[in-house]
Amino acid sequence: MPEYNSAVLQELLDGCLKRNRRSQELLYKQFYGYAMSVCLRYTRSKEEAKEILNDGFFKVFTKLESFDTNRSFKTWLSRIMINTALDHYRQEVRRDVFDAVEAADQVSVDETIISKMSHEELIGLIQKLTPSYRIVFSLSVIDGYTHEEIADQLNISVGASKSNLSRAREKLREMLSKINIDNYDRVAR
Amino acid sequence: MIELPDDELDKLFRKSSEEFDPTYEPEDWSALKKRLDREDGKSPAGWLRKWWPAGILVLLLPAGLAGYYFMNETDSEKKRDKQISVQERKNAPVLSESGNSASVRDLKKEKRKSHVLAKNDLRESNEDKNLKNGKQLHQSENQLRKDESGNTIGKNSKSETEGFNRNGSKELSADKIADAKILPRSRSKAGGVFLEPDRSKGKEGDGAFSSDKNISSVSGNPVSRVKTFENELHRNKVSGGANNFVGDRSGITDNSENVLKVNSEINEAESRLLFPLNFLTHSPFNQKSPLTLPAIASPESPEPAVSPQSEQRDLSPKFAVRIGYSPDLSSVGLDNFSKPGSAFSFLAEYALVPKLYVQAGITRSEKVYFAKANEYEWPAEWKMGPKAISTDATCKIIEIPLNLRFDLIQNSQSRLFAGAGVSSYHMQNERYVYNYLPNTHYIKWYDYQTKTGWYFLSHINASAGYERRITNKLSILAEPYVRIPVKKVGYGKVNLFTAGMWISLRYTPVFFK
Repeated sequence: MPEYNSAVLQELLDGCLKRNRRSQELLYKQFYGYAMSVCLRYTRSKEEAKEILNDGFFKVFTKLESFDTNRSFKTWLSRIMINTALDHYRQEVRRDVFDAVEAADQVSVDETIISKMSHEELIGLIQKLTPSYRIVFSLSVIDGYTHEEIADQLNISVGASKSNLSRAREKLREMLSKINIDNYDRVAR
Repeated sequence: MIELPDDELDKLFRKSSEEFDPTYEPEDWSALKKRLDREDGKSPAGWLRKWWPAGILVLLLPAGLAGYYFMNETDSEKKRDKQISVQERKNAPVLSESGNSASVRDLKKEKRKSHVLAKNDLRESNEDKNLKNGKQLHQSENQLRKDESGNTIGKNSKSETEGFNRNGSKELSADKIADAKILPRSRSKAGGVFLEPDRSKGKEGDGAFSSDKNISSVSGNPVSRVKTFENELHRNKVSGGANNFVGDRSGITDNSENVLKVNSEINEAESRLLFPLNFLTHSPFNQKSPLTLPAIASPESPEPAVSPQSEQRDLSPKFAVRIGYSPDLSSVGLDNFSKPGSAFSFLAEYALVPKLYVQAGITRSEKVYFAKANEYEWPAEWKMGPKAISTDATCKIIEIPLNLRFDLIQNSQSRLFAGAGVSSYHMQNERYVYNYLPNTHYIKWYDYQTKTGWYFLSHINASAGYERRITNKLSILAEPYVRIPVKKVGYGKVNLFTAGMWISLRYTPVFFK
């Protein structure tokens, strides 16, 4: 069922259009978790994620008239958060974009240990990536952008996008492996 | 231990991202709320950012008024001082003659001390002094006439300069007279200053009758002779002698031997030529000019005292009407100006006090504006369908303004003024066109036309302008203005701000006399 049929959401959006502060607060509260999870995987810290979150919601409240009620609000919100994060990223130091990473060896990880990891820890791993790997990995793997779209958004070549994604995966495997070894050592002792 | 393929790795992180739900932190909302308040103008900084142009205008108006009052006070003080100076100059001979020891400076000081007195008091005081002066002058004149009647004609006939000396001030020595500055006749009213001789025909000057030449043929100084003769005639009148030289020439003969002597010097032809002089206007200068003070070092042109009351009356007509046209720009807020609209007005003005007018009338305007979705209140009954992202509006409005107008700076040709007041709006016709995003479906309202009627005291008016007189009763005005909303108006309940400039023609039954 499309979201615009949700009476509660519609009422909240109406209130937000009239700049009703209470409606805005309720909408913010309702979509805080979702929006924050988007922001966290595009940033290196929670503080940075909060900054992007509020920038994104500010755009939502001031540009709400441009929202097409026939479409999903969640998708629209997600898009705004991602765009805000990309704006933020473009303002960041670009020297990290094409950081060379050492080729990682094939890493084996224990599935049982991974399954015990919380979502927060896994998101934390994404945050540990360099900005260029993090952005490309999030855009491609989690948000479903094609390499062409990513290349266009980040003003890089498609090849660079593919390369960054590949290296991001390797890095994540490396980090997972390290966690795996640490946990194995802990259990062994 | 297994090797994690790409798709498994992606799936792992995708799942985590979707299921991860960070807990809500209220302080994050507080930070955003402050930012939104600033944006909406609900915080002082935001309000200032939104309304600063109007604020500046509101601050400038009282500053202008204060400045005007200060300037006006200074001007009136100067004018008063000048008036006092003129009066003092007029009073000076009297004071001298009557033996009053108070100097002009003392008098001025005294008058400055009494600045608390009203203008009328001052005027009365001056008038009293003038009357007193007049009386004194009259007495002085009579005295002089008496003196003159007792004097011999021989003295009179000596020279023009000597005559002045005797008539003006007996205290003047010959040296002083030589040093004294001779003023042009245009400044003849400055007391104690010798006048340039009047050379007009009426005064038997250079342009007088050709008989001068004949007289000259008889004696060396025809002007002196003629003057002497005329003085003699006048003295005869004063002393009850012949009233008419023609009618009773013997009167002259009876009064003085000197007259006979003069008569003997002038032959019959000369007396015929001199005959019309008796009918010429007699110059009262010699006897009426208060020439009692020594020569003034720096003669200043005395200005006739102008009654401030009459000046004010002339410059401040009570009633005026004006018609005007204004191109204007309307907007919801201060950043959405679109196409210009127009307005026509008919206003009547009435002066409550000089320079302060109450102004009322009617204005017909067509306001064109643009409103974003959050600025336009979408009608509650229009629940169905998508909402417009913006609205283009064209509204025909009758405005009833009620303003106060104050003339800040005014002279005979122009004036600068400022005005403030309130306006009530009557929404006569409202037409709205709604704009949607491309590919929006199920649109129900593309446009809407309605009228919502009266909105009393919905706007504050502020203006400042310049008025230029083109004829005695007509003047043209240019008056930039703003209408600041205090109430939401129209079907969309918008804060409609308008700025424009009136170009008006003002008709004043009595503009300046």
